[in-house]
Amino acid sequence: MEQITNLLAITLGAVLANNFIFSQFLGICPFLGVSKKVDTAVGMGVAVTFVMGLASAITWLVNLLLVQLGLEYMQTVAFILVIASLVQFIEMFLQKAMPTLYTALGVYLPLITTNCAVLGVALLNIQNNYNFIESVVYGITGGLGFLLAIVLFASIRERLVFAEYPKAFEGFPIALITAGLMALAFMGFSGLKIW
Amino acid sequence: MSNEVKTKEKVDMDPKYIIKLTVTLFVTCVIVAGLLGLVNSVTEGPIAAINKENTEKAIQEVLPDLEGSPATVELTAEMTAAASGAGATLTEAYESNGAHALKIVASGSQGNIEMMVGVDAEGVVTGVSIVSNSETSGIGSKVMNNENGVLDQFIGKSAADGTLSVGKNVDAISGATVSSRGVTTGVNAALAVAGVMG
Amino acid sequence: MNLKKQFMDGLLYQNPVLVQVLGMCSTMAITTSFFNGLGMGLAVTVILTLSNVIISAIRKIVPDKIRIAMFIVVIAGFVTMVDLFLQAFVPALAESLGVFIPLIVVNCIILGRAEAFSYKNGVVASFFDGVFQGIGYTLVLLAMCIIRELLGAGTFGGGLLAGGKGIQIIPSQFPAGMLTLPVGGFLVLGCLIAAMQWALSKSKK
Repeated sequence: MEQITNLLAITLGAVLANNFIFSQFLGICPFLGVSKKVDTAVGMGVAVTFVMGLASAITWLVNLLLVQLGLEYMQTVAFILVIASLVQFIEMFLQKAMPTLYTALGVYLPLITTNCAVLGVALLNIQNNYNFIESVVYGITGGLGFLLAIVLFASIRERLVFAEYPKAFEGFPIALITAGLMALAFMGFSGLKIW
Repeated sequence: MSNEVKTKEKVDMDPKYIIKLTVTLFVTCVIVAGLLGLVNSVTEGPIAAINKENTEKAIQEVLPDLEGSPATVELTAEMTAAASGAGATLTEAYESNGAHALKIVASGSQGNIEMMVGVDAEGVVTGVSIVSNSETSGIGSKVMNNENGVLDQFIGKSAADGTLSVGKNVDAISGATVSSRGVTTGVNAALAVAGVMG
Repeated sequence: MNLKKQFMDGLLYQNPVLVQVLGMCSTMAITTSFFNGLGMGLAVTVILTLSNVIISAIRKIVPDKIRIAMFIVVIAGFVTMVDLFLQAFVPALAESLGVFIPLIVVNCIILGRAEAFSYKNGVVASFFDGVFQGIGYTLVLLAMCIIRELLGAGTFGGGLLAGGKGIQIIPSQFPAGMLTLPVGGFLVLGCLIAAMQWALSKSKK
C-alpha cells in the first residue's frame, strides 16, 4: 500500500508539481522545436514517453552492472549509448511497422537521443535512489508530463500566429514568454502532496 | 529523406561493413573508457576525501558533544523501514557514545533535501544540518540556511512530542511551507530510526 | 580560415543561444547565480573545444553511418572527465550545477557544432570555433545570471563575491523573487533573444 502511495507521489510530482519542462527545464529543445502544431506535438510527446519509460528501465539495469564492476564513472557514457541505440532500434522498428508515424515524426525521431529529458530522467533515477519500479514509473510519468506540457503549448502556439506583438519578439521570444507564463501557472501545483 | 535512407540501407547491409562499423565504435568506446579510468584513478582520492570531510563536518554540527570519531553503523531493515514509515529515506547512520547522527533524505519543494539529524542517547534531537538541497533561492533556501532559527527549533524535540507537523508544533517560514514540511518529515524519520536503534 | 569572422559569428551572428537557439535547457536552468553561469560556461567551452578538436582530427576515419554515435561517445568521455575533475577540485560548483553537468553531453550546441563544423573543417579552425562559440554561450549565460540575480534577489556575484552571498545591491525586500524561479528563466531568455533579433535586424538595415 505504501509503495502505491509512493508511486502516486512520484506521478503527481512528475506530471504537475515538478513538471519536466516547467520546473526542471529538461526537454526544452524539442518542446520549442516541435510545438508548432498539436498533432506533431502529440506524436513527439508519445514517442518521448515511450523512450523515457524504456530508457529508465534499461539504464537502471545497466547501472546495477556498472556498480557491480566498480565502473560508476562510466555512467554517462553508458547511459547515452543505451539511449542512442534504443532510439535507433525504435526508428528501425517504426520504419517497418508503422511507416506513417515514422514519416510524420521525420527528423525529430533521432533528435530524441539529444532530448535532455531522456538522459535526465535516467540520471535522476539513480540520484534519487529509486528502485526498478519507481524508476520506470518516473520515466513514464515524466514523459506524460512532457506530453501534457508540449500539447498545451502547441495549442497556444497555433493561436499565437493570429496575435499581435512587437516584431522583435517573432518566433522564439514570444514562445518563450508564453512558456514562462505557463511555468508560472504550473507553480501553483507545487504544494500538491498525497497525504 | 526517407528515400535516401532506403537506398543506403540496401547498399550498406553488407555484413563486412557492419562488422567494420561495430568494431570502430567498440574501439572508440574502449579508448574512451581507458582514458576515463585514468582520470577516475586521479580524482577518486580527492572526491572520497571531500565526501568524508563533508560528512564529518555535518556530524559535528548536529552532535555538539561529540568526542572522538563517530562509528559508522550498518543500516538494518528495521531502521530503513522506520524511516520510510515516517515518509523519508535513511541513507547513512553513525554512532558515538550512544548518540546517533542520521543522514536522511526527504522530499522538499524543488527536489530532495539531504540532512543530518543528531539524536542523543535519550532520543532527543540535538541538531539538524542540511547537507544538500536544491530549494528555491530566497524562499526555500531561507529554511535551508536556518533563518530565524527555523532549524534550531527542532533541538530538544523527542518522540514524546508526538509526530512533528508544521502548524501544530513546528513553525514554518511563511512562503516556504513545503521546504519546512520536508525538513519536518526528515526529523520525524530520524526520531523513528533512533527509536528502533535504542 | 577567417578568425575575425569566426569570432563575430561565435559572439553575435551565429551565437549558439540567441541566434541558433541551441543549448537552452542549461541556459535557463542554472542561471540563478553568477558562479553557476561562469562555471557552466567555462565547462561547456572546454568540452566544446576539446571535442571539436578531436572530432576534427578523426573526421577522415569516422564512417559516415555511425558518426553521430562516435561524436556522442567522444563528447560523453570529455563530459565525464570534466565532471570528475569538478567533483574532486571544485565541489561547490559540482554541487550547484548538479545533474546539468552530465547533461552537457546532450547539450545541442556541442553535438550541433560537431556536425555542422568540426566534421567538415580542419583542426585549428575547429579549435577556434569551439573557443568562440563557447565564449558566445558563456556571455549569454552571464547576462542571464546578472539580470536574474540582480532583479530577482538584488545581489551581484552570487557564489563568488562576499563569501558566497554576493554583494547586495538592491535591498532584499524590493526584487521580484519570481525571476530566480523557472518562470524567470523563460521570460529573461525570451527577452534576450528578442533583443538580439531586434539588434540584428537593425544592423542589416
